Amino acid sequence: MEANGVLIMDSSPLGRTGESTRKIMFTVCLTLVPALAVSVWMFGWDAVRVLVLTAVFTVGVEALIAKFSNTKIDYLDGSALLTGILLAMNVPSNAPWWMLLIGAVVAVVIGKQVFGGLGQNIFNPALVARVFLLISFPMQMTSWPLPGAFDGTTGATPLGILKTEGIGAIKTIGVGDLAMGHIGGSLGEISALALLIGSLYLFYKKYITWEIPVAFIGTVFVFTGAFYLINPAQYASPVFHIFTGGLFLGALYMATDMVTSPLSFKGKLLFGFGCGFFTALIRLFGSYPEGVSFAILFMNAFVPLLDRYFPDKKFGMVKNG
Amino acid sequence: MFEIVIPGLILAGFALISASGLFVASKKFYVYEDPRIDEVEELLPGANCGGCGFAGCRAYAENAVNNKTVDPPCPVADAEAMQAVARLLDLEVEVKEKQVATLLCKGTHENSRSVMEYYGIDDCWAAMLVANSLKACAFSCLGLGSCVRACSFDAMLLKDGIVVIDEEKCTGCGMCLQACPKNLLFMRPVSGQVIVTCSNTDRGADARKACKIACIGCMKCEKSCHQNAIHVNDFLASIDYEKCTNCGDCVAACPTNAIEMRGQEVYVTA
Amino acid sequence: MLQLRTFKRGGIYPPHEKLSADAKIIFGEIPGNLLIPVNQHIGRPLKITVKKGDAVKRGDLLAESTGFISSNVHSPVDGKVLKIFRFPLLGGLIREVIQIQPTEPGKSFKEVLESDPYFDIDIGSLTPEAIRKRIEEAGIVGMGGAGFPTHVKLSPPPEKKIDALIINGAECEPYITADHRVMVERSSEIIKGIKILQRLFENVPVYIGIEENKPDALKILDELVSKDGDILIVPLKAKYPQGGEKQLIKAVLNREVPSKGLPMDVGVVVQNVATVLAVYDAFYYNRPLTERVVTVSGNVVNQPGNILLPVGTPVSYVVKKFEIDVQKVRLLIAGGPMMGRTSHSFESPVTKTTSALLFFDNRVFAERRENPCLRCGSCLRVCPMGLDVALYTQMIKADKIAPEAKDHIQDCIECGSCAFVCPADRRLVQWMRLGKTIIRREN
Ligand code: SF4
Ligand code: SF4
Ligand code: SF4
Ligand code: SF4
Repeated sequence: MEANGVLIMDSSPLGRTGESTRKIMFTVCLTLVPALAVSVWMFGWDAVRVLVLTAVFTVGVEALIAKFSNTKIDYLDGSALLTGILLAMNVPSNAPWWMLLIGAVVAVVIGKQVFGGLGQNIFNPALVARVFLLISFPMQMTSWPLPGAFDGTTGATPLGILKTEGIGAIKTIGVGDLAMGHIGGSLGEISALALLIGSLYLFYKKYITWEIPVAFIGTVFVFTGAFYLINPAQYASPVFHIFTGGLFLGALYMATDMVTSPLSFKGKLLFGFGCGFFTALIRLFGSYPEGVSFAILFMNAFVPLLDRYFPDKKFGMVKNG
Repeated sequence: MFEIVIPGLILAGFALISASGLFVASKKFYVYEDPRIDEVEELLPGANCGGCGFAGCRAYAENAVNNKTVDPPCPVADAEAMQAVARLLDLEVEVKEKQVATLLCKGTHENSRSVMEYYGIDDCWAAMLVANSLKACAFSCLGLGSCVRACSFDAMLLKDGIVVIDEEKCTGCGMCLQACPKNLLFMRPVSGQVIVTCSNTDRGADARKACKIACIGCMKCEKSCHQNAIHVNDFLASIDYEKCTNCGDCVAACPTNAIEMRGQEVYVTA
Repeated sequence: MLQLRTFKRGGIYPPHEKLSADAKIIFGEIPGNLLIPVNQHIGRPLKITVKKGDAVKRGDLLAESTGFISSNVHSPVDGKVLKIFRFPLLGGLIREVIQIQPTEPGKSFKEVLESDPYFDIDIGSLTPEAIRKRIEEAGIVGMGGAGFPTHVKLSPPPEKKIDALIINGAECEPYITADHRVMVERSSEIIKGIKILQRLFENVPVYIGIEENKPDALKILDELVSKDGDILIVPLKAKYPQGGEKQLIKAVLNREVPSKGLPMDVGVVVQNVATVLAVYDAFYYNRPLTERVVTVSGNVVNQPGNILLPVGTPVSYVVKKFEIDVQKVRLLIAGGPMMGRTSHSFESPVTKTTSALLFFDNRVFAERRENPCLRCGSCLRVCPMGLDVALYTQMIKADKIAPEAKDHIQDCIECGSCAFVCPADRRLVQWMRLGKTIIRREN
């Protein structure tokens, strides 16, 4: 008795849920749509330009590497696209194309492929690129087109204003403005609300879990709040802090990046706490106005340690009884 | 510049502390080391392949000097180097002929047909958990290259579903032998050119069904050999290299081509 | 009804696909040729007691145990030993089989069973030693999966006091309905079997754990035991792997079997319902374990069903009996899709532990390549043992297993939940099993 061709042999289980790398990556990209829509609304065609260019650059660079690499790289799996979109959300809408190209190369090559590709990288590629750009081109990266100002006026972000001009200068900015995006900033920095809405679906699909965002934002809130209580004349309110500087983008989309965040419950909480702590520290005492990227990158380096020393409790690790 | 300076300072601080720690430790825990260890290590091939059973060449050198022994000799080092090591330690070492790893299977895709489509992990040990053999012959090489990965000398490659060994590059370290879950590799002196390239111990009829070149245990080789160097046990012939003179009578006698006469040029790079 | 019990950590909800849940157990005929694997259990290998050309009767010993952890194999039919050779079994292992040519091929197997004499034994007169001995002789092994000799499980050392006996009727694997049908159709026999086992441990309470998706089995057994104080039916949530021994104990008694431990460490003995039925047969019919109920299902089977097959029946017999179009078959699984093993030969025989034969075509099985791990954490979330699967498998792949990971890797129950949810299609179970192999080789 012979079947048509030989039978398939594989390890159990033979069933699957139907999740795939592509599905996850593209879903995450899709949930960024509300935030992207807000940024397009605010910055106009410039935002579209930045987005498209960055996405094309990152995927293109990855495709090039895939072509010349002897290991198989699926450059259309959506991970490069996601990196591209996240990078686009981290730069000003008037960024020149060559800056985006450099960013894309740094993100894909230094951020990801030198570590061995998807899943092996320690640092969030988009953040690596952002920090690289921030250090190399501080001018371009800190003067932000103001939303709705289509005449090319630029300005600093609220945090920048806070840092350079002091607490008085930000008094006029209301919470509503912050949440809705009526502030200067990078593409993704400006609308906390839209990011939150998009991420709800990710929570529902369990692609991200609550531990990191809650610990991250909560820590920032508590720390900046403490200083606000001590001296409201010098420090900005915690509400101001959590709605500015891409904290939502960082907490919901960057810190929760699967590859570069811890796996265990305790690890995630500590990771979120660490991110929040360093963000607050840099914002309150550092010379850069913004600390989210640095904080996340810094904590990324501890992920292997957190994984190893704060594992979840295993079944059966009980006293014999 | 705070963000750059502070981590920089922290890192520098760490470096300083660990460096001084190391310095103190090296002073405090300094133990006398026989200088000959370094000399022996110099003489060894430095491949750190582990073929001797120690964790690298340094460990072998330490053992050699501290216990005054060159037993087992380094399988990779050539006779000269090994004698130099022995001289250094005032020891004698017996010079043995170079051994090479040999695959006892010729179950290429053509000779032994595939009976399944294997989708699992590309590793011979892992495949053994799903299927004991991917081909019709139960004894055949899985062709997934666990041995290839174990070889530190780049002497093996996969071709047509089996491994091919480059006898020039093979140093005889023996690491591949342990890496094979099917025990298909063995060591033979490099001068032994006659090889029974089969491991099938099934009865003749079954073996023939499984593979075109299988040894069927017909005993023709045993009868043809004037040196009493080839014997059939369990329906499988094997050669005693102490006695074999490479005359090739058995090769001619074998009805299934299960015995191979290996010249120097047999190895082909893919 | 009571609140459904379940285990807390991990678990998944695969589609049930119990296509053959309402199909009565049918009986086949004696096939023209039987291949009886010599070793069908975990433990010491057996010694073959017959040779080529020997005539054997139904129930005759073919291979005998060589130690305590070992289990006899008997012939299910009258016949002649044709040959003893090596052959691929279901699951791809190549092992020794005894080929038997039956004297009466084509005879209805039901008739064969009916001609076995019935003994009306008095359970009260059986001593625990006699019970263990009979179970050992009959070659009974755990029929739920692994095939661990039952008499060994029933003989805990005296310092381990057993205060609960759990009968595993969870059958959490998709597709399989063999235990379900046994519980529905042979419920009173199962209760009698349980009574025999109960004699082994004084006044031990018995719990029968059954998943809620088998309401008929729950109802029938509930009615049967309602007069019995010491047998309790426990409805369980339909969650995979509810039938895993450790998960079942956690669900039923809320006791956690320690890492690397056995159920007896928490005073429990677990037996599968099919095994209990085998115990009943061994006493009331004096039958050794030579046949079992097998579910035949899958998407190329038009009439999924349950059939009682003698051990040694080749798959090809089932293919003919269920009129399966072999041309369509691309995947043959022995057991369920979660823990079952693939097979490549239609001549491979049914063993004591084959609970199902599933036939699939390409539709369910698109080619899947292993992609890099995303560290998405799904595998950690669903692992019922709470293992850091993603981390361990990376270590195993790199051949650098951290010392603290070794015990955990050995705790893996190979349930397959992790690989089921992995978006990167990693062969996590195969990696974990490879890890166990590596650790075993090191020791
Ligand atoms: S082929 Fe085997 S014996 Fe030869 S060098 Fe490689 S691992 Fe060593
Ligand atoms: S020789 Fe052994 S280890 Fe090497 S590929 Fe063949 S089966 Fe695998
Ligand atoms: S489920 Fe797969 S991709 Fe996700 S962490 Fe586990 S192994 Fe990695
Ligand atoms: S197969 Fe092992 S590692 Fe995977 S979920 Fe089950 S117990 Fe956990």
